[in-house]
Amino acid sequence: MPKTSANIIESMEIGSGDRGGEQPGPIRKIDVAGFLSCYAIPLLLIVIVATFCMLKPSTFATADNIDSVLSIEAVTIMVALAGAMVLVVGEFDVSLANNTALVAALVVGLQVLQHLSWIEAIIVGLVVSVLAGLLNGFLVVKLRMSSFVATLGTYSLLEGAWIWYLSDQTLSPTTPLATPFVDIGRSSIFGIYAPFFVAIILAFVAWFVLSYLPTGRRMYAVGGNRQAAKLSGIKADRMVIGAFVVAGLLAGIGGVLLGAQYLDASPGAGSELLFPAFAAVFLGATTIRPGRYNIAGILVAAYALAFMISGLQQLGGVWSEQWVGPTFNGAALVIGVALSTSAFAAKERRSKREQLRRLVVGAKVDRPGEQRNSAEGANYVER
Amino acid sequence: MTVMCGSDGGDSEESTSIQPAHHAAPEAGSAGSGAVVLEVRSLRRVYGATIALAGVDLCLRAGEIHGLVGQNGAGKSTLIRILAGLEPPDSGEIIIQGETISALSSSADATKRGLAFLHQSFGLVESVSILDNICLVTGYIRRGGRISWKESAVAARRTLARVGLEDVDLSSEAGQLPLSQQAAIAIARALQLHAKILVLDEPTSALQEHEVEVLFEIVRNLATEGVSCLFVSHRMDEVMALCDQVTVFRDGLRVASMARAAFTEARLVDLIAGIEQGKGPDMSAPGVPTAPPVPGAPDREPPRSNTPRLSIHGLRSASVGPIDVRIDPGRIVGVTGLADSGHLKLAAMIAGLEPSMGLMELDGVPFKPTSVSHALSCAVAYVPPDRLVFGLAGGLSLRENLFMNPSQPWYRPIHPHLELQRARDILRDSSVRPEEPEREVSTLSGGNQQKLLLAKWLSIHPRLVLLCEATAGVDVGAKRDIYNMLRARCADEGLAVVMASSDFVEMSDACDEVLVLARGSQISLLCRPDITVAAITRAAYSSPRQVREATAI
Repeated sequence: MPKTSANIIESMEIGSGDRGGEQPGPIRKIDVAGFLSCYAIPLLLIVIVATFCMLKPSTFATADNIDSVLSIEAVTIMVALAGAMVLVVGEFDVSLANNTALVAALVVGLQVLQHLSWIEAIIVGLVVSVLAGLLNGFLVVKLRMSSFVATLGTYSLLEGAWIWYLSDQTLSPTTPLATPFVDIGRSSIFGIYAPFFVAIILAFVAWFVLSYLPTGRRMYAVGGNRQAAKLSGIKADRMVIGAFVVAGLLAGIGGVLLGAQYLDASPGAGSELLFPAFAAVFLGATTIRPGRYNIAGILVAAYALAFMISGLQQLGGVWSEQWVGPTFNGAALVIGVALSTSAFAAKERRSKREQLRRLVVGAKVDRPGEQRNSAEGANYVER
Repeated sequence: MTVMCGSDGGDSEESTSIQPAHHAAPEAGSAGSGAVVLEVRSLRRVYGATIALAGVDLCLRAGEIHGLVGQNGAGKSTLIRILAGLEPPDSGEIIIQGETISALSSSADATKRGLAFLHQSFGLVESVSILDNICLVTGYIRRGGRISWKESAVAARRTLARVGLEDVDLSSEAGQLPLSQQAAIAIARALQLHAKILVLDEPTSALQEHEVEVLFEIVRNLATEGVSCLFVSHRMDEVMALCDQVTVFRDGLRVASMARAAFTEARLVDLIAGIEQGKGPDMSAPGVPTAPPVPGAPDREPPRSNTPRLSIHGLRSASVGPIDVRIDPGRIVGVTGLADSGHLKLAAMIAGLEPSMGLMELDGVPFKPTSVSHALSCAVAYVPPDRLVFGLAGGLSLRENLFMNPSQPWYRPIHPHLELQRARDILRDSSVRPEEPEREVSTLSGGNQQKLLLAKWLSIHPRLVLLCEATAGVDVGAKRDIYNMLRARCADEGLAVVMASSDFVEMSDACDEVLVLARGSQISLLCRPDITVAAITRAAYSSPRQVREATAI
C-alpha cells in the first residue's frame, strides 16, 4: 500500500526531530523502533507460519490446512471489518456477532423451512442485518444511548431471535441446497475457497473508502472529535447511523458466508466470533498505522491469531483442547495493546520533551517582544 | 477608615495615590473592628515567564466582607488557589488566625484552618439528598460503627438554621433546589466544619437577581456572627452592595485596599483598569480617548466600503441583545466583555449555532443561518473556542484536521500527494511549527494548534470569519502570527473578522472597532483611536443600571 509506506517515512521524519530550514523531501533514515512498532505483527505472522510449517510439515504446511484457515477466518474478518466501521466513528457495537449468527441461521433456514430460493434467502438475511444496524444507530444517535448499552441490548435481542427461529436445534437440510448457494462456500479460485476472496475484496473496499474517499475522512473526523466534526459542517449523526448500518450489512454478509460454509444452521454458529473479531480489530490498531483502526492491520492481526491457534491445536495434547483459542486471543490482545500503549506513552513523553525544547528555543527568540510587552505594561500602570 | 494593612510591597506609589479624600467610619457592626483572621504578606507566584502574583498583601478581619476585584489574570484566582492549598506560593507568608505559615499544604489543611471555598457551581452532588451532601463533607455521625441518621440529621439541621434553611426537607435531592438554596447548603456544610473564612469565588454568575439577594443576606448574617468573607466578583454593583472593604488587584499587584465608603463604583472600575483618578471620562460618554493607542495597534485606518460585509440590526436571543453593528470588509471587529457577557454567544448566533431573532445581511443579502453548514455555505467560518474540545481532533494528523470535511463529490478519491502538498503550503504560510503534516495534532503546542485551527478555516477563503477566544493560552509569538495572518487576509481578500474575546489587551492591539457587551447588552462601539484597554474595561464593567440606560438609547 503506497500510502502506508509514505506514512512510515513521515513518521521517521518525525522521529528525526531536528529541522534545519526547508526540507523538500522526507529524510530517508532507518528508524528501527518506528519500523518495529508498525510491522511487528506482520513479522509475527510470518514467524508463526514459518515456525509451524517446520514443526508440523505434514499437517500445518499443507494446502488444505492453509486454505481452511484462510476461508474460515473470512467470517471473523467480516465481523472485524464491521466492528472497525463503528469504532472509527467513535462508537462500539457488540451486537455484530449475533447479527452474523442470525443471518447465518436465516439464509439456510429460509431455504429449508420457508422454501425460499437461495437468492431470496440471502436478500431477506441482509435486509434483517441492515435493519439491526439501523436499530443500533437509532438507539445511539436519536435516543442518545451509550453505544455499549444499546448494542448489548440488541445483542441479546438478536440472540433471542435466532434461538426462536431455530427452536434451539440444528437445522440440517434433507435435500441438497441450491448449487449457487453451495458454491459461495465451496467453489475455489487458485485452490482457495471463495469466502476468502469475498472478505479480501470487501476489506479492500473498506480500506479504500476509509483512506481515500471523503466519507472515510469524515468518519475518522467524527471519531476523532465529534464536536469539531460538526462545527466543520459534517453531519455527524448521519455518519454514525451510516456506520452502524454498514456494520450491520458487513456482519450480515459474514452470516451469508458462514451459512454457505456450514450448509446447515446450528444454534450459535457465528455468535462466538465476537471476541476473535474484536481482538483482531484492537490488535490491528496497534500495527501498520499504530493508534488508528486500520483495515490492513485487521487482516494481518486476524490471520496471525488464526494461524497461531490452528498451529497450536495441531501440536496435539493439551494444545488441541478448547481453551487454547480464547486464551491466545485474549493474551495476544492484552499483550499487544499493552505494548502499543506503552510505546504511545513513550512517544508522548518524547514529544513533550521536544515541545519544551522548542519552547526554550522559542523563548530566546521571543524575548525582545516580551520585553517590549512588559514595557508596555509598565507604561500602562504609570498612565 | 482606610485600612492599609501588611507591608506595602512594590506597589506603594499606587496604594498611596488612591488614599480617599474623606475618611468614613466603618459601617456599624461589621468591618474594621474585628481582629485580623487572615493576612497575606508579599505573596509571590510565578508560572514560567508569567508573574501571577508579584508580592501581594491582603488583610481580612473577623466579621468583614472583603471584596477582591481585578481583571482576568490580575492574580485573584492564583491567590485563591494558594489559599485553598492547591498550589504553594514561591515566597511570602500567610498568617491565619495568628499562625504564620509559608504555605497551606493541602485542601484538607485549608479546611482544618477554617477556610471554606464556594465556587460558581457550589460543589454539591445534585443527585443525592441534602443530608448526604452535607455529611459527605462533614462526615456521618456514628454510633457503634453504624451511621446514626437521626443524629446526623440533627447536626445538619442545626447548621442549616444558621443559613435560614431550618425547614428544608433533608431527604430531597440537592439538584431540585433553587440555586440560592444550593449555595446556602454549601455554606452550611462549611460552617459545620467550623469555617471562619468563606471564600466566595464568582458565586453569583449563575444566580438570578433575587437569588443573589438571598445569598447576600446569608453572608451578612454570618458576618454579624463573626464569620469573614472574601468575595471575588466581576460585578461592581454587587461588590458595592455587599462589601465592607475592597481590595483591587492589577497585574499581580495590590493596587488598592480601602473601605466601602471611600470610593464610587466608577472609581473602582478605574482602579481595576489602571486609570488615574480625575483624568478618566465619565461612563456616559464612552469612547472618549483616555490615552494614546497601545503600541502595536494598526496605525492606518482600513478603508470602509459602501456595502458592509455583515450588518446586524436588533439581533437578540434569550440572554443577548439587541445588537446593532456593521462589519466592513477588510476590518477586524472585536466583540468583548467579561466572561459571562455574551460575546461568545453573539459569535455563535452569527454562525447559526444559537437561535436568534433580528436582521442580518451578508453583503447586502439577507443572512439567516440555521446551522454551521448553512453559514459555511455562505462562506462564513466559525472558529470555535477551546481548540481541543471544539476545534481540532487531537488524535488525527495535521493534514486530516486541515481537510476534515473534503468538499469534493463522494466518489472522487482524495489525492494523497496533492493533499500533502496543500497541507505543507498551508502550514508554511501560517507558520505552524513543526511543518509536518502527518504529525498528530495533540503533540503541537497550544499556539501552533491555534494557528492550525485558524489556517484550517482561512483555507476555505471565507468572506467573514468568527473567531472565539482565538489567543487564549497562546504565547506572544503565536499571537503575533495570528494577527498577521488575519491582517494579510484582510488586506488581500477583503476578509472581515469578528474577534470575540474577553482579553481587552488583545482587543486594543488587534481590532479596528470594538463592540463591548455587558450582561448580554451592547454597551458601546469603540473606534480608533478610542480603543484603549481603559475604555473597554469601563464599558465592560457596566452595572445593570448602566446597561438599562444603554439599551434605552
